Amino acid sequence: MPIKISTPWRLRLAIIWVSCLCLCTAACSPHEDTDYAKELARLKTAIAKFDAPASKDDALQLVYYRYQYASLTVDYDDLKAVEDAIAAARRTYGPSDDLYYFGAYLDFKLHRLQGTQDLMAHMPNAADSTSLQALRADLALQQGRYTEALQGYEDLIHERRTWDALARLAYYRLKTGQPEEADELYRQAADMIPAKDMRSYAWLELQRGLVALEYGHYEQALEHYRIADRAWSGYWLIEEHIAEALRLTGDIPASVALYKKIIERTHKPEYVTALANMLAAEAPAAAARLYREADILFGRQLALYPEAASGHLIESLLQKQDIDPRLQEYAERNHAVRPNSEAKLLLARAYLKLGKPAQARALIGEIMQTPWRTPQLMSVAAELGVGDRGKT
Amino acid sequence: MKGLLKYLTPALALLAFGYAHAADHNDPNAVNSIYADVPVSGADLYDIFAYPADGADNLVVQLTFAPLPEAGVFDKDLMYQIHLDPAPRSSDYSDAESLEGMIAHFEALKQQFLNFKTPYIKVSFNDRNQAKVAFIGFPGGDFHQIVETNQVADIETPRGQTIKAFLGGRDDAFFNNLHGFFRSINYAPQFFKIPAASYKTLAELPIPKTLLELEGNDLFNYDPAHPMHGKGEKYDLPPGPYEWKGDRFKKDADGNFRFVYDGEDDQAGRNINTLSFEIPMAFMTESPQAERIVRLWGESYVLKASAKIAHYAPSWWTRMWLWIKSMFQKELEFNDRESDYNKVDHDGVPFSDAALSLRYDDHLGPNNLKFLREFTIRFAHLGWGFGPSISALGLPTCFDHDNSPVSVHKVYTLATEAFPRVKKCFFQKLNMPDNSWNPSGKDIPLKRTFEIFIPNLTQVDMDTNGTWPYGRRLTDQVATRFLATFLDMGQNCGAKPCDIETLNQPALWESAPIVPKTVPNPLTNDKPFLGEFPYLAEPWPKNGEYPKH
Repeated sequence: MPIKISTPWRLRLAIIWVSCLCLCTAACSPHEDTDYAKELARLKTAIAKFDAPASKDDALQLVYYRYQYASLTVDYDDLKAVEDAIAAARRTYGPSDDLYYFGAYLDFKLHRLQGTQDLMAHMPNAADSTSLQALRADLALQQGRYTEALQGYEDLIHERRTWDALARLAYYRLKTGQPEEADELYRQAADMIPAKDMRSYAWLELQRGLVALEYGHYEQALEHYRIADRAWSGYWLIEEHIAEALRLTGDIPASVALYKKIIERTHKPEYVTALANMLAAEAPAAAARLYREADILFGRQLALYPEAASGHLIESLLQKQDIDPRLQEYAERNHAVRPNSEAKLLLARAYLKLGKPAQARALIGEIMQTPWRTPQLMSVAAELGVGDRGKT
Repeated sequence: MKGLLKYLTPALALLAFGYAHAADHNDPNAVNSIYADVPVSGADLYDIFAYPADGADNLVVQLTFAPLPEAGVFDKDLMYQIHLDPAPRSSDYSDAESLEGMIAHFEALKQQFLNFKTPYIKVSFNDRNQAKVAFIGFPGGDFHQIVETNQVADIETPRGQTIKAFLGGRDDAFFNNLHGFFRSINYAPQFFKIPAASYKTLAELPIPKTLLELEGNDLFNYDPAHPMHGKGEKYDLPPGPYEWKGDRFKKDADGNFRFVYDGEDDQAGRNINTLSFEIPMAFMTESPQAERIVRLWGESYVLKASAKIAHYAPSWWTRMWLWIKSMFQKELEFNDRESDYNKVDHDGVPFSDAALSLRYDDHLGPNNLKFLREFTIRFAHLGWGFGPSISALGLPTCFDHDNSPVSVHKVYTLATEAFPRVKKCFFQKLNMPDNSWNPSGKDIPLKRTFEIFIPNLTQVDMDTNGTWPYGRRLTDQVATRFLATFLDMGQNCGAKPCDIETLNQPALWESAPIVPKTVPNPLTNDKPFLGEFPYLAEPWPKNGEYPKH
């Protein structure tokens, strides 16, 4: 006896069938329309709208959108475009709190800490605002004033428990040897993010991955990165971390393939170096070519923003097998600009590579006087025979 | 990549410039779009109206909120709740008229509140703008119904009662001279571009609150050269300090004061989205004859990103399977799992958040008993501003301002110090203009001010007509009635005792030495209300012609 199917059911089944076909096609085809790409397109449209500002408000909008754009790409030319937009707005309409605010954040982004401090001094009206309180605490952290930074973050949370305040404290906890607390704070922060803001959620998942990665839990890190990628697709920053975690979990072919894809899109020298490091043993000629390419790209970055570029450059030089003669100079300059434990550790590692253990030991001893505690620090300290609290 | 760039990128405070139209009077700062960098959000609750229906023992309750994405269209990432708790009427307050007596009274109330698990209506939406309306904790048992939006729906309860529902876009029933109120409290975000991050220091500037403009208060006084300042136009805030150095109210050449209000309806032509219900009392309680008070409030919730990830980003196959399943089980199109949401806004007492709670995000919820001392301090702060203004107009005030000739900016740190100033205002009974509020003729005590603001919920007395403070009817001018709480109800305002409608009488302002000669807030809504459910007027057309105001 034939099965009778009513018309509404037939319609449903037909829709299901067609939808299955559509979904399969979509699933199997390259997915170019990512969240990242859509956001960049949106910002580009906004920038084009305000590119020839006719009023002060338009000029500020242009700065705002350019800043958002550069924050996503972290391309030095885009950052330069923000700086130019701020300068143009200031020339045409005179200084304002908004411009000082953007300038302070931009300088901070570029590791020009003195510039941040100077610009903040021009904003007495906003001095008590939570955003400047946060920036002050961030500045303290970058300048190695850890007690002040911690107090600032705790005050912020006390004042208003926002997700970004929790994330700031989480970062402090991570870098002071408290990964469980850091992860819990990031988790709490992620719980506060609304569904309309998947980008921030992805960023927090990325941070949770970093916590796991820093402590050697590579599979766990990869899991967080994958969630981040699904939440906000197509973001090179997340993909690069996936590539790094794939390398650490031993999936070198997948890591290499992903790095190549990211390099094609971003041209970031630190990723070129990371790829070269992976290829060094198997394909030394290709690796050498990549190192040269990275060197040119770093050169361009250094010419534009030396303070911002030096951290990645030093890390790249430390990872190379041979010794680059510029290593000490860069590491010392970086330390002079940001006299914090992170910069001290980079300099100590540079000294170690250059065969100067006494100088390295002294720096590690200095870090041990601070609350800064990371697995990498402890590893270098052990190598140098430096105990906790500076006791050798 | 390790380092600063990655750390800071998304944590940067978002700054959006330009004008975002004013939100309502009653938001936590998290959704307070008066600030230059807070976008308008559908989670921003505007009002909760509640009153007895005509001709039946039914309660009408209407929650209104920002119409996003647009009037009549709902955001499926948001969920709303309306809590309804019937209870017997309390007897008139008979404890000592002291701070201690008041605290003891609320401590007793708190014990009741600790077990405050109210029945509620929960509303969520799907992609097709349909709503799932769930009734939870009511005597007849939990149930739900999926309804179409923008039309009146009849919801049948398990006991065979009918609940009317309308979920859709309507004209905003809030008629208010919002910029006048903000001018009265020197609220900078309405007049200047202030980011939310400055909410503690640059919101209310340290200038006396006042109903009459202050001589030399150039930041906030009406400027004929810039008539739209604060009514849409915002400027950069000039550098401080902001303290007022003057010693008198401003007067024109004819000796008239300048009113901070101009009586215009700033909400005219605006739409809202609403969740409106007409509910039989017999549905809400087993004892509708005894439980004549309905305590109620509304809440908005935003879906968490972490909850969305399960639906939004599983594998293609999982997504397809979920989608197919949803074709056969409609409920799957709705997510009303409460653990997937964060609470954002609360609406209970009109004006409570703006006037007393300073919109602090942590003041959310009906249980605001713990803020009693804070409210005492705040009320005294307001009294030092409004009290002298009222006296200057020749009206009696309940606030003890030591006969100050001009408004004073005074901030207390101790409630015990502030209390003697506000005592009379807190404990005086609020006179009603006539007996129309009590059609049942029952012995219903007049409300005292302190009973209205704590706890933070609307209490509808089903034996009254539900006019504020016995509920809130669409036609109530609650903003002007709030100002009347600073009048001395034991004295006359003109020929009769002051009452909650005194300041809403055009004749009073006609004869006062003040310009413009207007009531503070508009007397009626910009569109007439309907005679039948859902009572709220039809929405204004998109991009249509709005009334000039």
